[in-house]
Amino acid sequence: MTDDDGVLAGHLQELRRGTVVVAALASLRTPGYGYALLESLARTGFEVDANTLYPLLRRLEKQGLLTAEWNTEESRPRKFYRTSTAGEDVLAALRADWRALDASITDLA
Amino acid sequence: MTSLTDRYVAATVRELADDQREDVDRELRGTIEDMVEARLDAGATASREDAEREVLVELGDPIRLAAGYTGRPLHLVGPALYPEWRRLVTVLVAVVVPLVWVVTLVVRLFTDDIATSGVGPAFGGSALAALTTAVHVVFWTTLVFAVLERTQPGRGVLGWTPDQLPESPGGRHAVSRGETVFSLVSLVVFALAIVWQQTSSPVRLDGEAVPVLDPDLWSGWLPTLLALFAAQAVLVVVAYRARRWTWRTAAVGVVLDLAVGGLLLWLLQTDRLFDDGFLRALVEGGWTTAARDLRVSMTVGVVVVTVWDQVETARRLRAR
Repeated sequence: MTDDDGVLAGHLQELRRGTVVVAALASLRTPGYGYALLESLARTGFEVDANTLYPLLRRLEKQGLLTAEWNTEESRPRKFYRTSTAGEDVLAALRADWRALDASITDLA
Repeated sequence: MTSLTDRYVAATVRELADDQREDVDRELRGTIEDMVEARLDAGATASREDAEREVLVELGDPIRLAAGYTGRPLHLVGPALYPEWRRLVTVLVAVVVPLVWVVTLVVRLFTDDIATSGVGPAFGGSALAALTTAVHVVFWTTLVFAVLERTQPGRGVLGWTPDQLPESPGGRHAVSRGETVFSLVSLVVFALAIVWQQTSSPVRLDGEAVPVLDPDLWSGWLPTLLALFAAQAVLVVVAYRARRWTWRTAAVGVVLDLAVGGLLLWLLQTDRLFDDGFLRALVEGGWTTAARDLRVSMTVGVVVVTVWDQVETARRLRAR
């Protein structure tokens, strides 16, 4: 039933869409650069496309949720992102909402 | 750094604002290198060139990547504006295009030298004008909406209220008594007019009553025309009793319409419709261009009515 697979995949994608932001804000409490974050997210089950994640980090930086600085000490210069205080607040709010949604869905079931 | 990455990074940052370019350029190069190294370390790819190529494929179209950085839309008209765009284009095309077509056709039929060139150029020219108008209407409307999409993203312009809802298609009574009666009365009036102009014409030439239509047509074409009218009347009654137009009744209707329209146009264009005495009476009465004027106005009338009938048929089918 490939058709059903497609339907499920579509719904899963919809459900997970916003979770990348939560995962990025949570991971980057330890500073990290683009590709390393992509890898660690993939290891923990968040399959994000590279061309989605890199622009997303920039947008979060622009919104003040991440701070960024260049690290030139290693072999090649890398831009390290870190969750800001504002980012921590947003992360806490998003997590609270996530738990509230989970509780509501548990109540329904 | 190889040229493929150079070209990819250049194509991406070209889309960005000046103050972002250098930073994104630097980060993107580093990221591509990271991804290439990871592929080589994993041993999945043998050569650096292949790995680089695969990484760029994974990152995808630079326009799409750049749109991620800038937040610019990847569509011409997005979901916030699409319904308004579609409604406006539909209304404009439905109103402006037929108007341009009819006006151009009438003007051309009167200004062209029909005697030498025939009506072909007038019909062709007006159809072309209508087509050009349609292209312009769609293009300029879309351009305005594309600009709106980029200047105020995610918002509609006119909004929507329930007042904009189209009329209900009428459910089971898709064919109303009113339109049926109107169709039947029109057909009877046409049929009676054809008989009446023969038996008691008001036109006089040298004191004698002359028929409007060529009496020779009674030996073939006028009975055919009356038979077609009768068939149309039967069809209207059938559709009314069925309460709706079906594809079959509509198709028969189209054939009958085209038969009537085609017959009249052919008689007009070959100067066989009107009686010579009738035309002479008009000329003697001071209307020197009567023959041409009647031919042109009748031609336009027949074409407009036939086309309009087809539009109505399409509307009825959609209203089923």
